[in-house]
Amino acid sequence: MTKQFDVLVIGAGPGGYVAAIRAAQLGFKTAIVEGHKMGGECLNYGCIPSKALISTGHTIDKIQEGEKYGLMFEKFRVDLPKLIDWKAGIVKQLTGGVAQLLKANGVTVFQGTGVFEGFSADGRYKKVKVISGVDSYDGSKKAPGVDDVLEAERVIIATGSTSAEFPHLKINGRSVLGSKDALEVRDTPKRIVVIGGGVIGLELGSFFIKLGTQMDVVEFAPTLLSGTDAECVDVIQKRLVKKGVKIHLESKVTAVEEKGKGKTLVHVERKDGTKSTIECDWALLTVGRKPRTANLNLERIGVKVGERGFIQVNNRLETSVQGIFAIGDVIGGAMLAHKASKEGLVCVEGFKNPNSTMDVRALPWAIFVDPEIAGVGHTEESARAAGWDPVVGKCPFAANGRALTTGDATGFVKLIADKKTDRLLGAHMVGPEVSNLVQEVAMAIEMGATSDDVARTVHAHPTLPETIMEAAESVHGMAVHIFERKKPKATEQHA
Amino acid sequence: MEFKLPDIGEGVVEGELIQWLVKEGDVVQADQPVVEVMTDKATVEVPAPVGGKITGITAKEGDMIKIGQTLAQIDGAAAGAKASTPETKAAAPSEKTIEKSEKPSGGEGAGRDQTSANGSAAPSKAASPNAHSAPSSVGSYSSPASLAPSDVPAAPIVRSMAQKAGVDLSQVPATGPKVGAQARVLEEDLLRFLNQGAGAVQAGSPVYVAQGAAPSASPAKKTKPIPANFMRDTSGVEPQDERQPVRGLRRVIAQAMVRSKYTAPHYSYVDKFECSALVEMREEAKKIGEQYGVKISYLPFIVKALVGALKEFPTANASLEESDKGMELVLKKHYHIGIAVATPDGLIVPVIKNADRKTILQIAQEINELSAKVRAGKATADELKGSTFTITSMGNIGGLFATPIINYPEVGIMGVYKVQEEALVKEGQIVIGKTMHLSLSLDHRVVDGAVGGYFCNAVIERLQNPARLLMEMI
Repeated sequence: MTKQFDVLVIGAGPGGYVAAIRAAQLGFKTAIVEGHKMGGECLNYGCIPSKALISTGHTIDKIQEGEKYGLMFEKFRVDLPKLIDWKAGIVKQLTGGVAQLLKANGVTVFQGTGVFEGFSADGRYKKVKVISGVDSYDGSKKAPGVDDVLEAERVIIATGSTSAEFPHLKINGRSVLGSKDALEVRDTPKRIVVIGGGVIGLELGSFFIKLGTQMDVVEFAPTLLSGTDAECVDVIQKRLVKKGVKIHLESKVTAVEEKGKGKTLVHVERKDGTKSTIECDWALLTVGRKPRTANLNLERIGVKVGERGFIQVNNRLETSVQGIFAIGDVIGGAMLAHKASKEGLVCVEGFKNPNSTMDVRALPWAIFVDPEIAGVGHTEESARAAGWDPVVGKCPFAANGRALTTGDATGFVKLIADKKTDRLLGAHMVGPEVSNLVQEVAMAIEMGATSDDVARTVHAHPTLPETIMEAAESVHGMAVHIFERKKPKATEQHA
Repeated sequence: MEFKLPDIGEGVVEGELIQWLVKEGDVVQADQPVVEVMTDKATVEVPAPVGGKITGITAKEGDMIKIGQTLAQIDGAAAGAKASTPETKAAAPSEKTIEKSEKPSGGEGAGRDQTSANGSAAPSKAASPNAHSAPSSVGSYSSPASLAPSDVPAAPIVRSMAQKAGVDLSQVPATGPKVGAQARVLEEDLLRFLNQGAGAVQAGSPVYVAQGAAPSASPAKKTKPIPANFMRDTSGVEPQDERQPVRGLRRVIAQAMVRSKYTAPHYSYVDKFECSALVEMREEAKKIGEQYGVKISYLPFIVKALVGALKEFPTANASLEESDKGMELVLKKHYHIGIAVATPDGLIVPVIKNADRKTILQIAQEINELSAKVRAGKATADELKGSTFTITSMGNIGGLFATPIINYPEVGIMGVYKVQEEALVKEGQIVIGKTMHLSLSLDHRVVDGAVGGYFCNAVIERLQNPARLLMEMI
C-alpha cells in the first residue's frame, strides 16, 4: 500500500512536529512518522519532565529554608512517587496536545519506524517504509500495525539524538542510569555519582541534592559545563560545593561495579593517576548525545554523515541528496529544542522560497541549575575572535531590589557590546530566573540594537530585568545602582 | 577550467541567469546546454565549452551576469571514475569506468571521451538519482548565532524579506537609527530598494491628506439606515498580500517601460477611419493566402500603410541619441517594424525586417511564423531586435483605443484596434459602415503634435483607400 505526500517528516520531536505543522499550514500534503511517542526527547524525557522536577526542587529549597522567612513547617516530607506521577501528567497533557495539533492541521500520522527504501523510477519521490511492531526508541516489541510504504517529494529527517555511552560504560537501568531513567526514580537515593558534568547531569543532579541526596560529579574536562562563560560557572560551582557536592575535575570513570541491590562502586581515576572508589546507589551517565540515525538506512539512499555521525546539511538544511533534509540534534550543533524547531520552520519555508536559509543572530539558551545560567550571542572571547572590539557591562543581582525580595540575590548579568559601534553582541547571566531574562537581549540582538537602546528603554520597577538595563548602562560606565570607576566611554551618547 | 559567460553577440553586455540545466557534480559533454541566460532580447541556452564535471557553481539563478563573468568550473580531468556515481559512497564504480579513468587523460578531448563512456555505464543500483555533490559545495551549514561585524543591523522581518527577494542587505541604502557609522536597514528602505527600476520609486512615500477638508455639504435629506442584510462584517482574518520577486522577462519589461516613459515625453493622438474598403480587400487577400496556407490578417496591410507614411515623415522613423557630441537625430533608412506579441510570460516584440521591400504575403507569413516562435519561447535574439517603429494590435481583445508606451529608443508606436460596424453619416444619409480606431504615441522631443496628426492622416489615407496603398506598392 503506497501513499504519496508532498512532505514527509521522520520523527515527531520539537523539530519534526513543528516542521510538519508549518508544512501543512503552507498547503503541503504532509505526513509524519513517529516510532515512539509524540513530542520526542524534549517533551517525554528532556526539557519538560526535568523542569517539572527542578521547579519542585526550588520549592523544596524554599520550604527548607523557610525559617529564614518566618515560615515554620512541622512535618515536611517529599512523596517522590507522587511527584513523578504529577510530572507524568504534564508530559501526557503536552504530548497529547502535539498529537491534536498535528491532526487539526491535517497532518497524517504514521506510527512506526521510518526506513528509507529508495526512489521512485523518475527519482522524484523518496520511498520510506514505516515498520510497525518495534519501538524506534528502545527497540521493544509493540503491537504490529500495517507496514505502509510512503512516497514523498521531500523528506525531513528529524530523528534527534540519544544518550552517548562508552564501550566500558553502558546504561543498564540498574547501576548506571540514563537521563530518561533518572526521571522515573521512585526511591530517593542516598548517594549518586554523576558521570559527566554537563548540562543534563548537573540539572538532574541538582534536583536530587534537594531531596537530600549526596552527590559526586566526575568530569573529564578541567571545568564543569565546559564551553559556558567561566564566571557564570564559578557561581554555581561554589554553590554546589557549599551544598556538599564533591566535584572531581580532570577525572574519568574507569569502571562501575554492580554490588547487588542499591550498592554500586564507581572507580574514578584522576589525570595525575590518583585512583579512588565511590560507593553509591547508582551512577547517572550523562556524557553527551549522539545522533539517532541507525534505523534510517542512510547509506542506501546516499545521505552523507560527517564527524561523529551527524548528518551533513547546507544552509537550507538539505542533505547530500536533493529533496532530503535534516533538522535538529541529528545534524549536530547546539542540542536545543528551539534550534530544532527553528530549523524545521526555515527548512519548510525553503520549499516555498529557495532563498530562505538559516539567518539567526541570537540563539538563546538556559541551563536550569541552581541558580540558573542563561546566555545568548557572543562571549567576550568569541566576540574578539569574530573581529569585534568587545566591552563588558555588568550588574550584580545584589544591586537589584526585586532579586533581594526573592531571597536569593546571587549572580549577575553581563552584557557584551562592541566598543566602536555600541552594538549589542551577547549576554551571559547567572542568577534568579535568568532563563526568563535572556530573551530581552535576544530580541535586542536580532533587531540590531545598541546597548544604549537597552539602557534607554524604561524597565519596570521592581523587576529582575532592571539588571539588564543597569548592565547596559554599565557598558558606558554609567550604571546608577552600582558605583563604577570611570571607564573609557564606549560611545558619546552621554556626553 | 573556468566556465565564463561567452559573448552572446549583438552587443549584449549582460544577462540574467534564469536557470541551471545541470547540477554541481554533473558531468557534461562539450556543447551540451548547461545554463539558461536571458538578455534584454531573448533567452539563450549557453553550452559548455568543453566536457567535464561541473564544480564550484558561483552564479545563482536570478543573478545578473556580465559577459566574461565566471559561472562555474568545469573539471575536464575529473570526468573520470567518480563521475558516473556522483559523490555517492554506496555506489561502487563499475569495471568499465575504472578502465576508462586509467587512460592517460589528454586535455579536453580525453575528458569528453570519458564522459560519454561513463554516460553509457549503467549507474550502480544504490546510486541515488538525486545525489548532488557534498553539501559543502553548495554552502555548508553555518551554526546559527555568531554575529560578525559584516552583519548589517536590521530587524528579523527585514532580513527575512531581503532573503526571500534575494537582496544583499549591505547593498540597501539604510535610513534607520545609527549603530556606529552604519544605519539600520528599515523595512521601507528595503521596499524602496526593491521598487527601484520597476518605476514605483514613489512607493512608500506618504500621501498627505489635508486636515479638515470635509466633503462639500449636501442638502439635508431624510435617509434610512442601511439594513443589516446589505452589510458584511469584514473584521477577522485579513488576507495577506503575496510578494513575488520580479525576475526575467517581467523585470526586463519593467525596466524598458521606465526608461521609455522617463526619457521620451509621450503624447498620444487618436483617430478613427472607415475601413470598409480595407475589409473587402483583406477578404479577397485571405482567399489567396489560403491557397498557400498563409493566414492573412489586417496587420500586413497596416504595416505597409505605416511604412508608406514613415517614408513621408522621416522623423517618425528615427531615434534621438544623446552623447558627448550632444544631441543627434538618427534618421533610419531601414523600415524594420516591430509587432508586439503577448506571451504567458509577458510582452515580446519580434521584428519584420525590411518591411518596405517585402510583399504583403511575405509579411503575413513572417508575422505568423514569428508570433508562433515567440509564444513558444523559441525566437532568437536576432529576431527580436532592430525595430525602428512598433505596432501593437488589440483587435482581438476589444476596447476603443489605448495610449501605448513607445518601444524606446524608437520615436513612435501605433495601436490598432478592432473593426466594428457603425452607423455613419454620409452626404446627409445614415449608412452602415465599418470603422477602426488608430492611436499613435509619439516622442514630442522629435515629432510635434501637428506633425503627428499629419502622420496619422498619412497612415489613414492609405488604409481608407487601398488604391492609394497600391500606388506605392513594391
